[in-house]
Amino acid sequence: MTLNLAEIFFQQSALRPEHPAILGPHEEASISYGALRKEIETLAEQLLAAGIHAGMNIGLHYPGGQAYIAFTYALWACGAYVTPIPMELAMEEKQLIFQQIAIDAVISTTGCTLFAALAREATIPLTEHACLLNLKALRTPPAELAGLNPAFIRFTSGTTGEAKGVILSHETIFARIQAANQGLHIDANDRIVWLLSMAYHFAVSIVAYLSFGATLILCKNSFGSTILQAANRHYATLIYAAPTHYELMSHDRSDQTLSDIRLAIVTTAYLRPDIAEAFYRRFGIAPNETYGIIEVGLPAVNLDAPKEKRGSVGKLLPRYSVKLESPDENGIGEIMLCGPGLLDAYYQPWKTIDVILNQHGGWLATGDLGFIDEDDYLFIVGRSKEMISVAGMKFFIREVETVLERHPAIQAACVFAVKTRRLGETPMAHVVLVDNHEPPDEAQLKAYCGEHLAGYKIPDQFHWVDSLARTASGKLIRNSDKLLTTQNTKIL
Amino acid sequence: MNLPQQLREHIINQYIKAKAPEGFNDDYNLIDEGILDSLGIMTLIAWLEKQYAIEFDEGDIVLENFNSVKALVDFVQTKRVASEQPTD
Repeated sequence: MTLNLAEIFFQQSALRPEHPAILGPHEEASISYGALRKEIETLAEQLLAAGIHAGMNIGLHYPGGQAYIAFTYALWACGAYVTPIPMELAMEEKQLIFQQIAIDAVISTTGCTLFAALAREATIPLTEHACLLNLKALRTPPAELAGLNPAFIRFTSGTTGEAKGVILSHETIFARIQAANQGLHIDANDRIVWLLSMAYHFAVSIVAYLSFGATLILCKNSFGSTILQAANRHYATLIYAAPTHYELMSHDRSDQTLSDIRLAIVTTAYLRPDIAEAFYRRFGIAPNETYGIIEVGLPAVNLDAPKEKRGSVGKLLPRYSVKLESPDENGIGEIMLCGPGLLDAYYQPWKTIDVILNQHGGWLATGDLGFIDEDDYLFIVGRSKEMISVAGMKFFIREVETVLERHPAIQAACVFAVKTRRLGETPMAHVVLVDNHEPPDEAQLKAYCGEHLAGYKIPDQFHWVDSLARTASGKLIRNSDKLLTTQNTKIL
Repeated sequence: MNLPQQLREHIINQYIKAKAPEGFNDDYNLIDEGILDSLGIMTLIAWLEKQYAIEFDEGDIVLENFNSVKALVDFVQTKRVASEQPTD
């Protein structure tokens, strides 16, 4: 018999029907496990009546919150699986998901017309704010997919610009949350402040909380005062947030404290030491840095030495193993992992976990660079993949270059990361003008990019260059220190 | 273009992208209406610091300074004035 995460939640709701499942975002808002189960079951009945059935893939294009959680679990209860469609993506990026992944229907906000061209029938209202749209088939799913018992397909763009959906089955997510909880020890006494995008974070967080009987606290906004009020009002024991949120909490001018917090989990990006220090000075809590990746889950958390080993993602959790591939003279190498709950497969091109692991002798190559100190603490120092992380929102460089090179005035483009204090990294572009073409100005180029890319992927600056800088072997140079000292550039 | 116009245009171009919502004016609540999320706040700060040569100090990144175009204008003006004051 196959596992279903909705059933795991239903078991918790039977055990503790009156226990709060979600508190907030508004002051008095609260829903118990029992009431959330009822909401999920009602939605599941509506979805079944609307033709949703086991084996279907449903796009979820909806703001994060209680409804997002209810839709996800209702779809699982129907036997369907979910592909999150992040709302902040540009239309072209959303269309790419539909082209690369077979999606049978989409749940979206009422009045959203983005998917009308793909619809095969009229929209079906689900709630006051949500509707379902059954879609024309643009492609067929891989034949082996149904046998994996998928729960999520998380779309990620590939290193060379082609798509790679990450498939996570119910069994995989369950294995991940069990493994993570050997370190986190989340149970029904925990109340967790949630601040992240549900389109990107769900599997080892929200599913874990609801599977272990904990309570989720949603906030009205991300400002420090709001987060602290929510944490104190609801007696939060754990915060799950990005470095940005810790910075915002550190800026709070009130006298609010965080007396009940036992873990302050930092995810999505490297925590700047000055933010860690400011948060520690303000609240007396050293944030727990983590290592979370979509292909693996949460293999490492700095649980026991967040202050002493600041900057480290901690030791590996008990069921995971790590090794460094080809370490350099400083001991820095590519982080290779193995353990429970690794992805089930890449969608496009289709590649099962067995094939992925066989490429590296049973290890998953993360593309991240790191070192392990003498006490076995893992430190992440960079990436071997060509990616940029803007305040924790990661994307592949090639995506942006591909869009730029489609502009009629641009012959070639090289996008690279520039370190910035506020955002960690921002993208910058070197662009080569097509012969005899009038160069567009920066505003025009940004507007053009905005039509094709999410805002955080748009280069902060464009430099016109005569040719792209390359190594002797012809490889593009993306080192910002070298590129920004190039003399033949004109900054727009 | 004056400061309120610049800020209004930047908010619309970068964070709303589509047509400005009905009732959008300098008092429109950018936080409650979901225009600025945490990533939006940080990218806006980076832009403001670069554009107006100001710096957000500890205690500056608070709701009161971001909840409307008017609040942002007031904050930037205060910071610019402060940066022009001679220091001992």
